[in-house]
Amino acid sequence: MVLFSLGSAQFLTAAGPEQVQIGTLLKPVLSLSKVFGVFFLVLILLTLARTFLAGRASQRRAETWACGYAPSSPRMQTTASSFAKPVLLFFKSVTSFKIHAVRSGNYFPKNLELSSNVTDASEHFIFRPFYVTLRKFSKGTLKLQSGTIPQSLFYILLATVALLIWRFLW
Amino acid sequence: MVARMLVCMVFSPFLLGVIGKTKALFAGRKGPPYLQLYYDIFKLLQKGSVYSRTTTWIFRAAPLVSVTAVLVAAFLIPLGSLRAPIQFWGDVILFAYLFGLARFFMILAALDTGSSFEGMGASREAAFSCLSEIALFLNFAVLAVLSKSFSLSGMIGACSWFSWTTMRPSLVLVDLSCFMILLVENSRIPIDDPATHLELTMIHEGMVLDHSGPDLAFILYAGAIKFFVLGGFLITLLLPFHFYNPAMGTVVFLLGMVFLAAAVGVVESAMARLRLNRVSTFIIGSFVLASFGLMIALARAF
Amino acid sequence: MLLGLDMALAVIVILAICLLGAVRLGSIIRLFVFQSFVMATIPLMLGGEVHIHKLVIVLGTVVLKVIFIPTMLFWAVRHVSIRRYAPGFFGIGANLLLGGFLVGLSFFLSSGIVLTEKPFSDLLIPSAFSTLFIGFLLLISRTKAITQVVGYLVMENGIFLFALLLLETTPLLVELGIFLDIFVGVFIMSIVINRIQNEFDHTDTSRLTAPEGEKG
Repeated sequence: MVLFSLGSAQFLTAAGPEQVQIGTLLKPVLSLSKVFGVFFLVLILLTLARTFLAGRASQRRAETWACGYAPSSPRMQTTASSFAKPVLLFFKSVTSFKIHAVRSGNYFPKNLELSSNVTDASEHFIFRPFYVTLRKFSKGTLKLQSGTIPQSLFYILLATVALLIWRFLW
Repeated sequence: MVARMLVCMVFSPFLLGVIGKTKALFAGRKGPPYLQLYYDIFKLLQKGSVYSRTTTWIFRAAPLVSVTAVLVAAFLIPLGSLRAPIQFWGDVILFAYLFGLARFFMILAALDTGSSFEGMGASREAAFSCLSEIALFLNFAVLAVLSKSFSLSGMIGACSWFSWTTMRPSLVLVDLSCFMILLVENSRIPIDDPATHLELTMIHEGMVLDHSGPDLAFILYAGAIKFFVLGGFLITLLLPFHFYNPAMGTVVFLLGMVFLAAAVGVVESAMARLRLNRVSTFIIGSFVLASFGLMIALARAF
Repeated sequence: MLLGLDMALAVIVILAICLLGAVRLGSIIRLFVFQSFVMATIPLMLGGEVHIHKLVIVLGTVVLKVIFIPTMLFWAVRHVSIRRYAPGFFGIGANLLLGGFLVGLSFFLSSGIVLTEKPFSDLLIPSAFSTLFIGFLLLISRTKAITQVVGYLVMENGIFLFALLLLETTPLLVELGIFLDIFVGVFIMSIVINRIQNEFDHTDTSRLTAPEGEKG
């Protein structure tokens, strides 16, 4: 399957530009600047049109309409978690999105709390286990590296005996 | 080229009128006149506007950017037999992201008002477009494999009579998938109800609740042109032949567009809006259809 | 002629993918009927003369899979199911993506298969594999017994597509044997489902593994 996908990727990218010269590099820049020119031209024309039209009619400021419900308060705003909720619900199987709701009373609750959290996949599955095993390993080696002098002398003795054995008995 | 842009700009609200008439036909009513959207836009252009106290310059800029982005996207696609004025290698990505730019500003404007309804509509719109862009790019990939070029005008060359005879399943799948994406991008019935009166079921309508006057006129016009641009791409894919006489080609193309608008009207009358978790199934279905077309195209091209 | 064959094969796989996305029992059975009908017309599109052998196969498939078995399935649905809604285990989106992956896998597998004679269309083997895999996925991922029967029948559709490769050389007796197999299988399955319904008041197979107390 890997060979198949590699082969098809090679086929797809074979439809690319042939040689890179100065002319070939400049062409996309020119076409992009053409597009930007058109974009800003149309934008300026529309802004002028809108200013002209707005000058003829009244403009006033009022509260946000929002279909005429209660006047908005900061508690009613769309927060970041509520903005992200539909996408997270679509990808529920991948992001482990959990919603916690706490309410008192079943039909006419007096207070209602809603919170949601998403487990950060890279932190939870990649970095955290790695860090935990690294820490355990370091704790284990702490016993070997206590820093006391007799222990270091003992290591020197061990190393010397090992070298002697290796040199003379092999 | 000027004539082409004029045709695009003048003809697009007529298509939404065709959709309205088709829906009325199915419901046994007489329905609004074909030119209803023109009357609406003219009426709104003359009205005053009310701005909310919490909004900033983004709210005023969003309709303008929306119309501009969609008009510039109209410069990039070939319509019928007429070639695109601006084409370069890789302009498909610019095409897709011009729509993304328009959507980005609309979402920001919706969040700018600080109301929860617009925020809800904005978050849903962001979620749907997140999925539909994948499907759109997969369709472009199939067309790129078939035509061996990454430019929109080059991809239309993939749909000659010859490739229709050899690659027909692949092209039919791409057309089906593009039709489903058309419904998603223009907020039509299986995804979102353009005529709903219930705030909780509004998605695109919810985002534009606070715009009024000329701003609302621009937003309606941008919706019409978006339908024309995406539908034009689909129709140009479907037409297997090109005319040398540009007038004749344009007439056939416009007839095809009217037919497409009627088809969208039929789909709108026959289905109800899907539940929100079924909408993701719909978009994934269009993605799987496009991937199936890609596999057929790759298997045959080898 | 061959182009009609390509389109018909693609339509069969598209319908199989739509089956993965359908949750209502009525729409599942109707999609299966449409798929069997398209499949029944394929022997007529293969080119070559139309002898009595092919006609018998076409008619047999139509009678069995388009008329008889769906009637039995609808009868079973009416008499047995209270809830006509049958989603699967993983969720519909994951099912659809898995189906797409299986279609890709079948294309990959068929590029490795080398046949002695070229098949009628290069889409024949991939679509046969895809229908087989998707039928199998339908069989294992759904909990309602009737949906599992439809999954088994879709697998039979895939095997039928394979058998088309050998259409010229298969004697009619083998085809009749396969038909009898399917007929008896579905018949027995319907009777068993009826009995399960009478005994347990539901046909949800995921609840059948644990005994639920004595029933008189």
